[in-house]
Amino acid sequence: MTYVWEHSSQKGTLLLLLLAVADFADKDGKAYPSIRTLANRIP
Amino acid sequence: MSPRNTQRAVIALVASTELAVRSEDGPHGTSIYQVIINETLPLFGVEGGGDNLSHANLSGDKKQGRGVTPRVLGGDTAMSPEPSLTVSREPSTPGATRLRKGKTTIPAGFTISDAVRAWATEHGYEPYIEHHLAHFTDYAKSNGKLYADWDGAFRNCIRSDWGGIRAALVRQGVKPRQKASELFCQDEASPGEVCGLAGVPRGGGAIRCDHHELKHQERTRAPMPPHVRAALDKFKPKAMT
Repeated sequence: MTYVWEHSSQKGTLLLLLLAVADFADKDGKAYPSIRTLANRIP
Repeated sequence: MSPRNTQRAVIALVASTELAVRSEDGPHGTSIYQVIINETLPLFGVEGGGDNLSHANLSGDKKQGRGVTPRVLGGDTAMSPEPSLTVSREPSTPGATRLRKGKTTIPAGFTISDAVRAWATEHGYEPYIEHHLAHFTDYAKSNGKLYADWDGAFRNCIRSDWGGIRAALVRQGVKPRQKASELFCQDEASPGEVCGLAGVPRGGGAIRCDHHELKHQERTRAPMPPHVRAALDKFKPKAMT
């Protein structure tokens, strides 16, 4: 997540979504949340 | 946020190449996501499963995203796994990095071009341009400045006296040279001739050379009053007999 905060060029909802994906990521950087889970993370 | 809007946002992130998606490859049939922000982070491996790596095919939704071209990673017609950002950042000229809108960083070995030197000479900036160049290159490098025309930017630097370089030099006694159009002696006693002492044409100019400045003072000097002349004559040494 820190890496996304520091290096992403996105902002707003897209940045929030990218952070949500990064929050689910494992040590390999891969995440597999459902669309509904991601949607619930973003108000 | 609705799942549909979330799906659209995912498609937008995939289009921006900051997110890669492998559809229906995770547990329970969910998609696998990977954040790709820097070139150093690997994309999904292209080994196996490349056929179903459609970014528009998220969570089993077979509809394609509107306005977003599906991007396939891996497979026979796969795009290169290298991020597309590196393509647009190729330097176009040696030593300069082209970033956006034709603007580049300062070229390596930037120096004063003949055109700029001629322009500076014409406008009387020639004694200062080496100092301006040192200030300009340091400023451009340290701030990572981007310009489309570096000669034009340097002319702006000289014209506007960035950093007060010229003003400081003038205070130190470095005099500006006259403009070429001003290199005419103001003395119009014999216009058209060249003043031998000053080496500049006579007549119509904005300056007066030293030689003609003295002559001008002699011509414009008021005549000596008679009583002063008589007093001075008294002190004249008498001729030796």
